[in-house]
Amino acid sequence: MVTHNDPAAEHGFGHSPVAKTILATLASLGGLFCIGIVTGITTAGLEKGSLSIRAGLIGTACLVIGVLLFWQAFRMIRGIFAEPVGKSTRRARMLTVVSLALGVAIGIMLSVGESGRSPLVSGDDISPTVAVILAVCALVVVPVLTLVWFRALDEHEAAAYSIGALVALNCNIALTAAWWVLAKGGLATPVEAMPIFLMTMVVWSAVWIWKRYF
Amino acid sequence: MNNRLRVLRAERQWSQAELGARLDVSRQAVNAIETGKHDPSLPLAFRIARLFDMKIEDIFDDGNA
Repeated sequence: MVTHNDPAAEHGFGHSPVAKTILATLASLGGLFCIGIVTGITTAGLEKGSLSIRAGLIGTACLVIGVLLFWQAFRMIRGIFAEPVGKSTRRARMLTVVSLALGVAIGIMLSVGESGRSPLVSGDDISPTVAVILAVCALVVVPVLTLVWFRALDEHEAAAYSIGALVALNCNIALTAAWWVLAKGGLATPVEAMPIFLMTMVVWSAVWIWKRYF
Repeated sequence: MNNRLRVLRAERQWSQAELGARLDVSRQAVNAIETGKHDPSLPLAFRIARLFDMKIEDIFDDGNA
């Protein structure tokens, strides 16, 4: 039986929502690239008042490829949302979207420094108002959102998230301890919070995604 | 732990996502259970058994029977 119900047909990486999202993103980028070429050729044609056969053929090919890539991206995204999902899974997905929106909002706030440059890149101070808003997010909004989201997860994803947290915590402890000892021995600079924080988040996310999707 | 989930699902012509929706778990959870990467909790094992109208031990086998 070769249908979408064929068990063997659902085990490939390309069937996971993450893979579909990555492929859809790549297809969209490819589509944008193709449309960019078409725009460039069209603009050049309008400026010159004529278009060579070669440029016309390339433009047409890029237009066709671009449209096909956008169509593929649309189908992949539609496929993710067309899958039947349970109540808890739908709730967890909705909370993930809310978390992503919050992450984007925090990212935008972090990109505005006192002198108009991003504190993340330039090392500029954050304005006190933005600092208070972000601190409230870190102390209240993110933990509450995480708790509500965690309770909506199925046991498989909850286990993946928990294992990721355990590995990340151990990496955090090991790196912090080693760095602090080396700093005390005069072999390293004093311990900095941000690199360790980022490493913890990367390890946590990597293990979580690995356990969930692979 | 070995299990017959994939076979039982295929017999009913359900996709992993469909089975996941019926059990209120994600498609990835169904896939992980079918491939033996994740052993379901007792409550989920009961939900699976009830869905297929079978006993837990008729679906799951720890190899010691």
